[in-house]
Amino acid sequence: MSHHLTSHLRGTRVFLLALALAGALLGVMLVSAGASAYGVNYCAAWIASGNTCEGPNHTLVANIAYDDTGSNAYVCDMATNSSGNSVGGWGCGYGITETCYAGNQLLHGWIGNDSPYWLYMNGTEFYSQGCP
Amino acid sequence: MLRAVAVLAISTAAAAGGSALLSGSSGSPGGRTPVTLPEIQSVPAAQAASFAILRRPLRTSDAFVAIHPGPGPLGANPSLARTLHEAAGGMSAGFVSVVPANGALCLRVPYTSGGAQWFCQPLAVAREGKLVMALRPPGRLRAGDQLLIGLVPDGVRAVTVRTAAGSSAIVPVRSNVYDVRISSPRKVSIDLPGAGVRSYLAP
Repeated sequence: MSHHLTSHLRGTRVFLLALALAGALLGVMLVSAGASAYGVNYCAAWIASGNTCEGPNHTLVANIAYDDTGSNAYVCDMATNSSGNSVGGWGCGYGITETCYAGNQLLHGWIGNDSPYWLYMNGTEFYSQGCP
Repeated sequence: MLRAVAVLAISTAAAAGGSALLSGSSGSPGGRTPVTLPEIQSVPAAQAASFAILRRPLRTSDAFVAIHPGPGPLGANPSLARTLHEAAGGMSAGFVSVVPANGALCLRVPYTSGGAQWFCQPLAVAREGKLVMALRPPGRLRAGDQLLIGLVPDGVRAVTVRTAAGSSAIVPVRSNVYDVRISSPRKVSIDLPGAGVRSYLAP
């Protein structure tokens, strides 16, 4: 009887542990999904005049280049596919510039500092939001 | 049972927290994230007052094919866009759209090879003629040839673009918009009505 009770309790524990692990996994998935729906920052760094920085690979729908110094300096953004070919070219503007992509292929975002000065910049890649 | 529930709750919370930390690490410290503003539903009077292109009635040719549905940067509303045709060729598909946004104005230029470039500035900055963007060929950032596109307020008939080589081009303004293919622009000068000449370092 005692042995039966012990094995029953053990079975219940295993079940609950499995449930706990499933819940934990669900938590990971839910939070990760929320994060990936937003996007990722990349190349947050001081970038010399005329230099560029390449971001990670995603099915991009948008790539944004920022001048984080607040000086409204001239910055550029671009994206390249797996063959290294650009989709469009460099788009440049003061302070911040953004390009929308179809989201149907893996692309690397790029940012570039086209001001005469060093700039603290960053790029943001979005891969599941609207971008008209 | 209570212990099991506690294990479940703690595991889930720990996983969620850990994952949040991990997802946070994908964004580098110090990086900016875009400001999300509500999409505007009509052309703000202050924007229409300074830019005649936004006062004219919408035409069927103003609508552009959005790459994805939804608002543009800073709450820009594509359905309020006014679109001009420009000479196609190079990187540009041959259209420039002026899109009102929330406290700002945007230019949108589709690429020939797919994608569309957006550039926005606050209204006050746009009134100063500093809504200037450039499309450049891929490769080295400072390659010479590019398409320079800008928006200027009412009353500006032309802008002067000086190049690094010392030449200058007088670019006509059409419906508040100018665009020019030019090599190594150095300075854009705009004679603003009542405010004098403003010069900006060009890309």
